[in-house]
Amino acid sequence: MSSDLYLVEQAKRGDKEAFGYLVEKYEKKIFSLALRICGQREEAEDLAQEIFLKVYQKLNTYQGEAAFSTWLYRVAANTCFDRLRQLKREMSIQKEFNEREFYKKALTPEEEFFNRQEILNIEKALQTLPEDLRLVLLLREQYGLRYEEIAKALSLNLGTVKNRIFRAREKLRKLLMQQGEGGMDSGV
Amino acid sequence: MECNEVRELLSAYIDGEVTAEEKKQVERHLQSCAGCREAYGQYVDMGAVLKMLPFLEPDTPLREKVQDKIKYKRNILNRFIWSEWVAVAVAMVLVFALGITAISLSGLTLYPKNEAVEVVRDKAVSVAGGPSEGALPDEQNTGVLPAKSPAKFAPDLTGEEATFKTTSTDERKIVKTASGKLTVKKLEDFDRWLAQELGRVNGYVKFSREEKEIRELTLMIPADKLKSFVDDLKKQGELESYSENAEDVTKAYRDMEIRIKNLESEIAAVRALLIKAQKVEEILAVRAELNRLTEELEITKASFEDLKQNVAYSTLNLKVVKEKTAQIGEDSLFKNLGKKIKEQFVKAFNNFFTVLIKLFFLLIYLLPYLILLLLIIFFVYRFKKKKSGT
Repeated sequence: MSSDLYLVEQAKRGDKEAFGYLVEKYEKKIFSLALRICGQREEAEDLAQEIFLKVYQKLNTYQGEAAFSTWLYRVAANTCFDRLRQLKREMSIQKEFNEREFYKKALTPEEEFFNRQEILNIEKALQTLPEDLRLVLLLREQYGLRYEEIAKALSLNLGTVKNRIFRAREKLRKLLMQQGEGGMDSGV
Repeated sequence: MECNEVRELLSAYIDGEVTAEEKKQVERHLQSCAGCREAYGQYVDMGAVLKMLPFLEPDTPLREKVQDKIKYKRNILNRFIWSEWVAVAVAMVLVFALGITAISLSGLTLYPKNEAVEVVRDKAVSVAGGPSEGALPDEQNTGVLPAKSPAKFAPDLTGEEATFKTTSTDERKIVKTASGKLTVKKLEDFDRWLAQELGRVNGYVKFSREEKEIRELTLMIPADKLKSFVDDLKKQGELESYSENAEDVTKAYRDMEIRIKNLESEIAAVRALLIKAQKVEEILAVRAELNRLTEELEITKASFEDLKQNVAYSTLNLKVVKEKTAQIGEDSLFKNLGKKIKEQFVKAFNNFFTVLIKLFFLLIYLLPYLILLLLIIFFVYRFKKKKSGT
């Protein structure tokens, strides 16, 4: 039994500490996903909380058929999309990438030294991708999920996952190329 | 293959999600297409950066915040669970009450009614104080109720019959049937004893079947001698599964008496007509009627004699077996086992459906309350959901 599964079993029995560990373990991953999907820090913190509360409520429906993390991402994605719909209705969605929203804490010296501009460029490009494409690409590249896991988490078929990842890459590539040109233009 | 087609495969190729065949196709294409080679490089670089994206931290750790909310939620949950228990308890009481009502309606247990009948009956017997009272064995009060119990009989009387009630209810007419199994040491001794005993009580053998070690007998014993006969019988061997059944035929008895009287007076009246009749047709018609009446009288009288005989003589179905020859298969419990099972089965299903139908009617009767209950549950649920939503 994986450590996640063990903690889930304990949490199901009402062990609050066990669930606490799970929250601690996944809070950054979930918060990051929420932030990169909705683009706003405050909103993302709210969302992350809501996601974990939902997970706790639904814990009994999780029977260990998939990895806990896959199941968690599924709940996260659904909650994020629900909120996005609401935000779009209220026209309060932020489209532009705002560095301060994302990187309140400074990048680590390593990140700073090696990739600062690259990271910021890609974050910016990501924010202009449609959310569904952004989500599959993040789950694949950043979260390391296999296509099958993504399909399970998002209730999609494999072909759709494959196609969306491709479209996401292609769009992102073009965006980055535009950015490069634009960057050069402004640099000149 | 077009570049566009290859690109999608290329993307999957990078993720290691292609078949061996697809892999070959992609690699072949990459060798010959500079554009796709460039795209491939860009995809890989992008992936490297994406993998390097940091997981960001929320301003305040989530653990405590979430746990605080969970505590709060759990309290509400607990309350809800508690109220659920209350609902379960209420439902159980309701079902219990329903069940009792349904059962009492279906007539499965009618103890109170039966007791009432027994009381009236006992009174009737003790008031009547007729000779048959003494012959009633004790078991009869707990035994099967006769088809016509006095409590039911009395209100049934109307008109003409009512006059008979005053003149002849002092004597109950009871038909008794008894059965039992007797195990004896020697059948010859029993045969000898039976001949003597029948002479003593003035009874007779109505039917008998003799086998090597078994006697099946139907004995007719004068009603008032049955008790002493059975007492003596018990001394001859071991008497098992002995039972007595008493049927009150008073009403049938009186009805027949009246019928005979009526027929007799009618015949007398028709005879008088016969004397007066002058035309041949008239004589023929009256004679035909007279014949019909006489025949009916004969039949009624015969049945009356039968009934009288039955009242005067108790029937005792006796099975006599030699010791150690008793067979389990012959035991009364196993006799007609299939038939008994079938009967019980039919009975059980009849009862089941009766209860079901009664329950259905009760459900309709209780519908307003059930709707109210559902509404309450609905609102409690909504309230709970609203609370947990905040």
